[in-house]
Amino acid sequence: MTARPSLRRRLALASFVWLVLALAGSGALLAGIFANYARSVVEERLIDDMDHIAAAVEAASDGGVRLTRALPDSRYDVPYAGRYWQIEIAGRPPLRSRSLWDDTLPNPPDDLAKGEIHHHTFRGPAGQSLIAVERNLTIDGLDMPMRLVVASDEAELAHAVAEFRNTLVLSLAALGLGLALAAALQIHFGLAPLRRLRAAVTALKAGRETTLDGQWPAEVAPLVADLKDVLARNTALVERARAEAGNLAHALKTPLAVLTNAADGHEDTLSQTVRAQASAMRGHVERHLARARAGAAATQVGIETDARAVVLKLVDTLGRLHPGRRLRTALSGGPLAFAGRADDLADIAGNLLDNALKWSHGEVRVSLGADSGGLALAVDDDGPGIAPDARAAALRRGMRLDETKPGTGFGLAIADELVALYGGSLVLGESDLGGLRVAVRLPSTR
Amino acid sequence: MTFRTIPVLLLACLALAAPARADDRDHDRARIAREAGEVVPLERLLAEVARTEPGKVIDVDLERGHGRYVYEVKLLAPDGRRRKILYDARTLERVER
Repeated sequence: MTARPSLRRRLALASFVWLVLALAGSGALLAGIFANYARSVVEERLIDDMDHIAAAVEAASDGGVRLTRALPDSRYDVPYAGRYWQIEIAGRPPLRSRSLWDDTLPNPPDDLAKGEIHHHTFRGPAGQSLIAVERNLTIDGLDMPMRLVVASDEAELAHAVAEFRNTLVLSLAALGLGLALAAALQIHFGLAPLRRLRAAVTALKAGRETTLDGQWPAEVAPLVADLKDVLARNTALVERARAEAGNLAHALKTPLAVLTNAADGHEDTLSQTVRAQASAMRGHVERHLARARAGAAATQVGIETDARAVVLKLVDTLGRLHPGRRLRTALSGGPLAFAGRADDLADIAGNLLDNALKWSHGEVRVSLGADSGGLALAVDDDGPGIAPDARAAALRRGMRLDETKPGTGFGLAIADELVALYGGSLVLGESDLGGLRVAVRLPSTR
Repeated sequence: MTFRTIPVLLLACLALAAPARADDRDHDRARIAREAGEVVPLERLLAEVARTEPGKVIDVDLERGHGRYVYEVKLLAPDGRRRKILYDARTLERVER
């Protein structure tokens, strides 16, 4: 299964893209609106000044014109100060604001209809970029129309616009940060049910829960329902396989017993072979029966077994079968919950106890405890024990270290395989009673 | 700005070389005349102009001649022509110069 980008990443990416687009778009829009507005304010002001000139201009005695009043803005009088006006009359030098000093405003190739106001942008003194308005004007006492031009340095406007843009960018960045934080919180909150589902599945796997009950959001509920279906079908399949394996094993047991009985009492080679092979076959049958059961348990989830009860029952039964032996138990307090099936635990402990009782001289001890690593089961006996270099061989299936004792040679091997199927461990060692110590670790649900 | 120090000096010069306007205190006169009931308020004049004449009022003067007050209205007509219209300040009748 390849890992696709996480839902969290997808959602974060989507909201990030949307955020950036929305903020950039509204930023550009706001900056544009402000630039237009600021420009129109400047142009209104220029038109006011142009009206002022129109009111103040009078025909002069030399055939030209003069202003009867100065413009109130002193920038029209300071050289290159950024505000300019100019009055043009055909065939005469233009009348100019003092601020133009040694320069003139260009004459845009523009056909002005009567009374129209035109807007221009052109180069002015000292390379200034100018915003200009112009119009035609006719006054009494002068037959010719004159052209009024009033202009302002664009730098002033550009400065205001730049300042606004900086403020805007800062505000939008702050807003974006806030929105990103909100989106992150939203994603975290929105994905909470999936985290809850994952925790529930984990609990199910560990055997702490047996179902996925609870309230789920509409988007997750179908998934949970499907998951429950799959779990139920899996359980049913496993049960059926188990039942079939059990049926097969039981079907084989009777013919094997018949074969063994028929061979008993005869010491010819055929009978010996039949006895030995029938015994081996019974071992195989038992081993596969156990394996089928344990394999089932390993794939099933949500099973919990009270290990104390299983061990106590086993000790009770076996104690009665071996009245000559002393069978002691050392069980720790607190919960001893095995994450698996009761019959599997009974098989493991039963095989170990069988083996110990078979070899002991009189005393067997079974101890059971639990810690953070799981369950700890140990069986000690005072028998001959197994030499360190022979221990690995003792766990091999069908290996009988002592052919004189009855048995299939599968006891320790079956226990070892079952333990392995549950992900546990089985270690052979020396007991303080003098014989063999088998220490087993098994998974716990706690 | 390069010329930051200059405006103060320049403004002083401008004040001395006051433009050639007949009477710069005509707004004081207008107030006195209005309180004496000799002229109608300017807003009535402006309403009358707006009602009868197309264009934009760009200046108003109050002048006294032949024993009466006269409003001189400068109007920027839509065709780009600047017109001067005189009104009797008491009656708002048009007056020829």
